[in-house]
Amino acid sequence: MPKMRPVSLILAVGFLFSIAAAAPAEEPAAGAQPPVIDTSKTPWLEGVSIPTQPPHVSPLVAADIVGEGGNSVPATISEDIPILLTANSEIFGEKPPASWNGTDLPDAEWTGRASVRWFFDDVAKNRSTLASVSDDLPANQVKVIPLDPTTAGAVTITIARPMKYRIAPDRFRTTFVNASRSLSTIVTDITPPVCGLEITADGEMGTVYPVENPAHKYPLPKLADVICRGKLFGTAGDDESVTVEGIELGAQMVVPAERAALHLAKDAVITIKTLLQDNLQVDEKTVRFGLCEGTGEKPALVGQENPGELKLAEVKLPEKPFLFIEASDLAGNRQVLYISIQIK
Amino acid sequence: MRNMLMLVALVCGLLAQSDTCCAAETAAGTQSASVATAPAIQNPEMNLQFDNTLPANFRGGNPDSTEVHVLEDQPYKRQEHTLLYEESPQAMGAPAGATFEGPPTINWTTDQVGADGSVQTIANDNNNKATSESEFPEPGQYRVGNSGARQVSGGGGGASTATGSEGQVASSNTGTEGAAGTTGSGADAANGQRVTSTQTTGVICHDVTSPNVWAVFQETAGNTQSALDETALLQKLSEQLLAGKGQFDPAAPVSDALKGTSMLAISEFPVNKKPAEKTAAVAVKGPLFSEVGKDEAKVVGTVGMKVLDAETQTRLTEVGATDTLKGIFVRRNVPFIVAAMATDNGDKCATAAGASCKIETNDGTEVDKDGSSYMFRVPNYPRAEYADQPEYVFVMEGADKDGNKTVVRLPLYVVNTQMAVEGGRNE
Repeated sequence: MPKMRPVSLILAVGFLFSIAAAAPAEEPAAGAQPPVIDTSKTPWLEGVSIPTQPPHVSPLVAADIVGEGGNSVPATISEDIPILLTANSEIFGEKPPASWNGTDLPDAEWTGRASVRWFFDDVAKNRSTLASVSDDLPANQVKVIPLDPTTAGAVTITIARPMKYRIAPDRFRTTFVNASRSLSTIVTDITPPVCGLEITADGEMGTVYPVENPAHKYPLPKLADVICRGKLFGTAGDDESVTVEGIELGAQMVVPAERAALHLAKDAVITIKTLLQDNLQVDEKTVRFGLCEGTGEKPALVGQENPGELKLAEVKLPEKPFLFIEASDLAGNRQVLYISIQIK
Repeated sequence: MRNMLMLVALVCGLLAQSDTCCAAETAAGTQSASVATAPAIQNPEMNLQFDNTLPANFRGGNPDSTEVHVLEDQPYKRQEHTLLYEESPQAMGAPAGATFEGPPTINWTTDQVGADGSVQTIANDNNNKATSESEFPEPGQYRVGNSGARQVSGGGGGASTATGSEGQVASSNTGTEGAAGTTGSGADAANGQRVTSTQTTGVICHDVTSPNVWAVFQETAGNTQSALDETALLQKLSEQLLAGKGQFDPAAPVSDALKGTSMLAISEFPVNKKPAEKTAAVAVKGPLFSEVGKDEAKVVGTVGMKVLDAETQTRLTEVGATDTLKGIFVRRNVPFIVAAMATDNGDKCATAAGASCKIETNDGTEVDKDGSSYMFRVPNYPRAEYADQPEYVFVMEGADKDGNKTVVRLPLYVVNTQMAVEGGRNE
């Protein structure tokens, strides 16, 4: 393509702007064509028939997000721990932009307060959660508690503020100024898994599993209620439902035998299924369960590891037999749950 | 003027193209280095539009405003578009080779603007689609925001605080008209850049619901409760009305002060139906709605809300006599007072205002009170027996600030005094 000489270009532009400067502010021509959309490649655009450009002036301004003390937002933040975030943008300034995309916006003034929306994005799951604002802070600040850990995430802010500008001696146009920003940040998982067991013996069943309670507790330690249900927890073969509250969620969760125990015949044949759950993801390679002796920090396995079926008559029962399940999540948080066995 | 602006844009485009050519020439052979240090991609603009909204000057709206006008409870489709949602990021100015890492994260947010200018986010829909449908259950002022965020790999980026000319309005760097945006940057170079795009539209949601109107009749003789004067009766009615947020449950107990009274209530029910399907329930509680003085508490029917004015889309609820509500039956020689109040969904039924009520003869002449209360000395019911006596009509009317109305016109019959106490038959 032949290049134009810069001097002639400057002259031409200067001439045109000298004419334009005498005219009042006016909406730019829409100009944009309806989009050509291939929904096989961009399915989220199904049903969209408008161009990418707004038909009216709507300025965009810059925004940035900083953490405590004006520092950068950390690349990783922890679930359940409050963090103060601040948005810096001229949208919080005294005056709106005086021009946009070459259009003068004379006598521009704000006409309302800013809408400020903070989101935590789970990029891996393409899920976004609007952060709730609880503390009474300036409009550009938020103290948020990230509740869900992410493997790939972001904190995002969008801001909009109404403004007006003069389009004729006695007429003003109202519109919105917008700003947005998104920073990648990972929310780390600090909650151990909440895994349990489903046990069947001689046609009767019992399930035991923890439930984090209170949810999102901080500071640590996390606590859980352990739910024990089913006939195997009853002394007389009755359905039993026991909730043992306030057990520390972690590597040594022992259900006191006097509160709940599995009642099994000495020659019982039991099948064991795991109930795996975590607020992010259980690392299945770490899952162990079976019969053990005592309730040490590491289960002292008796017999086969991860048995689908366990014949009590074929193992030498320890003095204090327990069933256990051990699991870690992808962040390395570890849980071990012990439930006592009482031989009928 | 428009042609000249297009010419300016053309020249600016040529200038930008000229610069791009020069830059391309000087950077020849250093592409990999320039990609590594490429400036952050600018956030693109977004277009957000509503389908089938009302005219900009609807109910006195400002035609120069970009706000849209909608009716409460009416579903509206919305769509938005931005370069961020395209197949590749190059149209946003991303360098060759840069790609989107996945689909965009899309949120539709609704803020409610209070009468004091406060802004509260009331809903967010993370549907990850560029279209959405929603309705506004309460009249008032709203802001609908759409935001998209999407990861771009190989698109440059820098430290999280490197926003460039913060506080300044960035302008186009592409030379394409309207492709301007703000300077942004990624959180970290390793993960590329997370680009955002957002737009907001102001929404004025208009009230098309007739107000809730309640009337209370209190006989001032033969009553075990101490009678209230009209002012006190209005106050007690207001308290009852606000406690129920305008909704009347005939089976629910009333305050002690209103026990022994008779109440007639017209309330939107069910609430938040589409404008064309709106109805109001007519409910009664007390003995004055039965010709034999039977104490009743029930919903006697529903009435559709009609369009009162097609241009302003106001609604009218008209209540008249039906098989289940023949009229109001007062006793001869028993004075009574009547008071009426209204609430409106325009303020979520948070306040009560007076509604007009009166008794007219059939020719429209207003019946005067006997002192501070009404009293009829001559029966006019059954009509066949008292054909020479005038017909009376109880008229109640409430209106909201937008012109939606509720009008009640019910026959008012004067029955023999002994009817209510002896019961079962008229004498």
